[in-house]
Amino acid sequence: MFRQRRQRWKQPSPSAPTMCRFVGYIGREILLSELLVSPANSLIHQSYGARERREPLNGDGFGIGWYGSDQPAEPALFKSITPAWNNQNLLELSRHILSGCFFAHIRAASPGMPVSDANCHPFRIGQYLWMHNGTIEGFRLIRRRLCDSLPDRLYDSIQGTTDSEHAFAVFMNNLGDDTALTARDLGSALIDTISQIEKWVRRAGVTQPSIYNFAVTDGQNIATVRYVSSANTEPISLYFSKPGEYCYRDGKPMIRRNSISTGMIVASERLTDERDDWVRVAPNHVLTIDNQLSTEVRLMAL
Amino acid sequence: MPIDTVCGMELSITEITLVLNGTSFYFCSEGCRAEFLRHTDDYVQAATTEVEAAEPLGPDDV
Repeated sequence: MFRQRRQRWKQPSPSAPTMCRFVGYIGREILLSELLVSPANSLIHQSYGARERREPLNGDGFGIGWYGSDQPAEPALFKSITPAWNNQNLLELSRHILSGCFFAHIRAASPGMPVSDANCHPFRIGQYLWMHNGTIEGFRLIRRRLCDSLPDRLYDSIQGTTDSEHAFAVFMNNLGDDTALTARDLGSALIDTISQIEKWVRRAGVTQPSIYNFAVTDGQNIATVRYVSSANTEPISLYFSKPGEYCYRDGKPMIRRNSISTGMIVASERLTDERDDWVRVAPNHVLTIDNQLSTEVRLMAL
Repeated sequence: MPIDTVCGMELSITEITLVLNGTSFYFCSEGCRAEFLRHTDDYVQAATTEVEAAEPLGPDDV
C-alpha cells in the first residue's frame, strides 16, 4: 500500500518574507559533502541553524544538481521535500559524489507556495541549473503575462508553481539559442531578466520590494546576483570565496590563500568561521565566475 | 584610480564618497555606500589590512 503524497500548503505568515539558502561551486572536483556537510556552517547546518537570517529554519525541502566529468552536459538532480537536516540519502550521496560544478539549495517556502518536489531548487533546463534566494512580490499578478511571453518549449518546461522557476524560464528566453556563451553573457541575461520582471511587477501596481538573489550555471560558468528592488531595503546576504585552495586544516575546511586557486564558492552565508575567507557581494551587483576561475563584479544599471 | 571599498570596482567618477576618521572612501553607487555603513567595521578592517600589506618594511620592522 502506498500513501499518496499530497502537496502541503504553507500557511501565510504575517512575519517577514521567508528566505532560502544556497551554495554553488566551480573548480577542481570535490565531494559535495565538503560544502554540504563538513564546514561549521555547512548548507545542512543552515537548514536548521542559518546564521544570517531572522528565521534559522529552511525545512521545506532541498535539492542538489551536479555535473559529471565523463557524462553528458546535462546535470543530475536529487530533490526532496524532507528537511535536509535528516535526509539520510542526501548524506550518503554527498559523501560519494565528486563534481567540479554543483548547486545545492535548501528551501524556506514563500507564504502560500506549495511544498512539493517540483518546487524544490535547483531547477534544470537542458545544461542549465538555477536557484533563487528571495521572492518576487506580486508574482500571482504577473504570472499570466510572464507565461504569455514564453515560447512553448519554455512554458512546457515549468513543472512547479514557484516564482523562482518561472523566472528561470524568462532567463532562458533572454539567453536565446546561442551555445557559445561566456560568464559575462550569463550575467547580462540575469540583469535583463530582473529588468523585465520588474517592469511587469511595476505595471501590476506592486510597491513592495522583490528580492532577486538568483544563481545560474551551465556547468562551465556561474553567474549570481544580489539585488533587491528598493534602495531602502538591505539585500539578503551573498558571498563568494576568496581565491585559494579549499583544503582542511586540523579537520576544519578552510581556504588557503596565496596558493593556486582550485575552486570558487558562492553562498548565501559564509560556510567557514574564517570571515577573511569570504567577500560579500555588493548590493545590486552581478558576480560572474568563468571556468578559469576569473571573477568579475558588475554594478547593475536598471 | 580610486577603488570602491565595497565592490572593488575601479572608479573614474568619485561623486559618492564618505569621510570616516579622516579617511576618504569612494563608492560606485548609493547601494555600496549604504552597504559600507551597514558593515563599516568589516570594510574598514579589510581596507586597513590591505594598506598594511602594501606598506614596505622599514629598518625597524622585523
